[in-house]
Amino acid sequence: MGIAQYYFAGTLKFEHLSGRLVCVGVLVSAQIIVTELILGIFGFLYAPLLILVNSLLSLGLIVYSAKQKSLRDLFIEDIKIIQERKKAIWAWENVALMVLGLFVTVWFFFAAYFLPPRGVDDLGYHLPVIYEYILQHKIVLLPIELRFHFAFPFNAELLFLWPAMILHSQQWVDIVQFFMAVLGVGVVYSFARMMDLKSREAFFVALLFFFTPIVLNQIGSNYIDLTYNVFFLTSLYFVLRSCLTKNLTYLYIAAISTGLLLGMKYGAIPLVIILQFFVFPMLARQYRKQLVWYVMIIVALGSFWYVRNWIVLGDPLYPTFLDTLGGSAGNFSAHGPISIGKNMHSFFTKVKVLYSHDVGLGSFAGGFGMVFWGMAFPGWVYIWVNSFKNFTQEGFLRWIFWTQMIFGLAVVVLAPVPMEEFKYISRYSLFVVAIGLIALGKVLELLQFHKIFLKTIKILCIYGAALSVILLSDSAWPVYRLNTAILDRRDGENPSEFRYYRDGVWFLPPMSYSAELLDLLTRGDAKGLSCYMASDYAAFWTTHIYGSKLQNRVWNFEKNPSRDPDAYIYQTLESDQVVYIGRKITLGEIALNPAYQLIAATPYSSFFIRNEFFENKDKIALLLKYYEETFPFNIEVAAKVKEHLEPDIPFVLDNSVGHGFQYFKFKGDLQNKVYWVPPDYVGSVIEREKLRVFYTFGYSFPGFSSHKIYDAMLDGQVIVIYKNQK
Amino acid sequence: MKKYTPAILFLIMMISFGYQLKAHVEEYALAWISFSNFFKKMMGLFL
Repeated sequence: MGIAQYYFAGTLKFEHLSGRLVCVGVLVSAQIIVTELILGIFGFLYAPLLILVNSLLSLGLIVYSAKQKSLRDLFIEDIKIIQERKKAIWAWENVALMVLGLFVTVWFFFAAYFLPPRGVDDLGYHLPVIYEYILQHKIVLLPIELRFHFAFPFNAELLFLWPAMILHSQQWVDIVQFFMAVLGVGVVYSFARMMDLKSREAFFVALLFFFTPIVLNQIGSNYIDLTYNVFFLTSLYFVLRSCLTKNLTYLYIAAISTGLLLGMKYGAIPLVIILQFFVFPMLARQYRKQLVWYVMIIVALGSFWYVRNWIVLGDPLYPTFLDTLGGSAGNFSAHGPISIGKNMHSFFTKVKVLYSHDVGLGSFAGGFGMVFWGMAFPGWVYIWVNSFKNFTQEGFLRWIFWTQMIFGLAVVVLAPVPMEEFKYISRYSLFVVAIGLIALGKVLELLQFHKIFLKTIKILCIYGAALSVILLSDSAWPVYRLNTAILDRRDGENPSEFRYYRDGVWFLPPMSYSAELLDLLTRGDAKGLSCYMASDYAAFWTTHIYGSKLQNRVWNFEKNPSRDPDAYIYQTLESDQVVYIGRKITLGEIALNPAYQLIAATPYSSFFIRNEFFENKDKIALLLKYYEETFPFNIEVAAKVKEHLEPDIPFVLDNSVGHGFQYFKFKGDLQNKVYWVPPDYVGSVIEREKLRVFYTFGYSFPGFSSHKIYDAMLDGQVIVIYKNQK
Repeated sequence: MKKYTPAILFLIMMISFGYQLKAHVEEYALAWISFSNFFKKMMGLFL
């Protein structure tokens, strides 16, 4: 597909190779998104069909292009152009950044290979949505009563769908934005050349874009701000080129890019409107008739999600609404609508915090970085002020470009969110970094006769880039730490990637136990389990349920499930308010249902599987291995305790030692019946089974005469077993 | 004035960069500790 689009772009009229290569990136993305969208709308989203359609399209492009030009000639021409820039590319400062880039690229590929998707919103909505498209073979709207985010535009997520669908795996979805970052480098270079920078400086500032903290942080995640901002830059680039050169190719590529952008995020709407306000009169003068096509392409590529929401939900921008008359600014904030007036009170504080704190640094949410605030932004101020001096048509177009910085920063400081959420906003305007860096390039050219100044700034920029890389090791959302994964591989282990949730933050460690086990038990199956989830709102993350090979289903998202769930996950990780989607099946119903058994639990989560599943001996072997690796202490405790039990007296317990007893039960090495239930269900199970005599762990059961049968200390923990009888 | 523009620009950039470095020294220092620990562990694995 890349070769076909490269070949096709070679037949189009471009003044510069860099612009043509950026066009290839846009066209490949467009081909992926449009084919998936069309197949998805009509319910034909199957991997073989997707591959077939794209192969035919690519073949068609190759045949068409072959009539215009030889691929070999095109390639040789391009290599020649690159060779002419050899000296500039291999300049010391660029080599330093490329070496750093190579190091971090290896890191990203390792992270994508070993670690599961682990960004917060990735797990909440970016990925579940596309996984449902893959499993249901069509574009569906997931329950918005769970997350209103399910109704957002999803053009960018369709890029993640590509590797997930072709490989039927979650493994490489976290590498897609690496290619977006490379496209970002390409567009910054193209812009820099458009602004008359020499190749050497243009390449330097373009590489610096890659090392923006937020770019590095988002490369390994499914937050789409990187993709969205790169597409804003490509739209801006091609539309300005089309004004500057009167070249129709640029106009149409600008339309494709703008259409895709509008279908990625609601936030694109104001940016596109502002941009069109400046350029549309110029385009109208220059292109007239072709402008209809420009608008039609934008509408065709960007409108699907808005039309869908309008038809299905009665609101094209669901649920983001602007009600300025009423003083409300919609759901920008997690804390609900916030008034615009209230937001304006904190305007100056936000401006100050933005500059002095580089808010969000080190997290997914932000950090324009030291190079931007330290070097590029002051450079931009100088360049922007000077851009007023030349107001020819070309000068005006350049002014439009430099001025986008103001709109980008305005989005950040004017977004109606309270101060505690301010740190999440800067990522929306990542494109300002590109503008700042190009301004930095202009300043570097101004300093070209002051070698010491020039070298000092370049060295400090490389230092800043290196610091951004270092920040990655402390990044929490997502985590990039690979130690455990590599250690496991060295020891010859091949665990489920969800084990590494334990190296993450927030709900990931407690969720890791059921996530790892569910995947481990099912990853070898063509058709896995249909799993029900009931959780508090904040932790209702479903990505792990699908499994590493997308073998499982989320029962709650199935439209008309043909049978009851095979497995159940209950969790209350932040609050006790449980959200039920699809059908309300309570924890109590399953905890007391003998058709299911608890196989993994933490104090705040329980994971049940239907008994029939363990009729397969291989599954039991996997479960035993998991218990041995994950709960050795509980197995040790159970081993000690079981020696003191009288046979035929059941054991009722509600803590993690249950893993140990399940281990011996599945191994066939335990004569006692075990009732392992979540906390609060011990009494219910005793009542249901009408137990007259039974063991409990850690406490005697009220209403029964009890005595200790075992009391010992193991690894500093007191282990007490009671025999209760009536 | 034009004669001094490069020097003034350079000075402003140095001050601005220095300010940013000072403002974030703690974050970067903590990150450096994590990064060097990670690297030491990796070296320990492969060497």
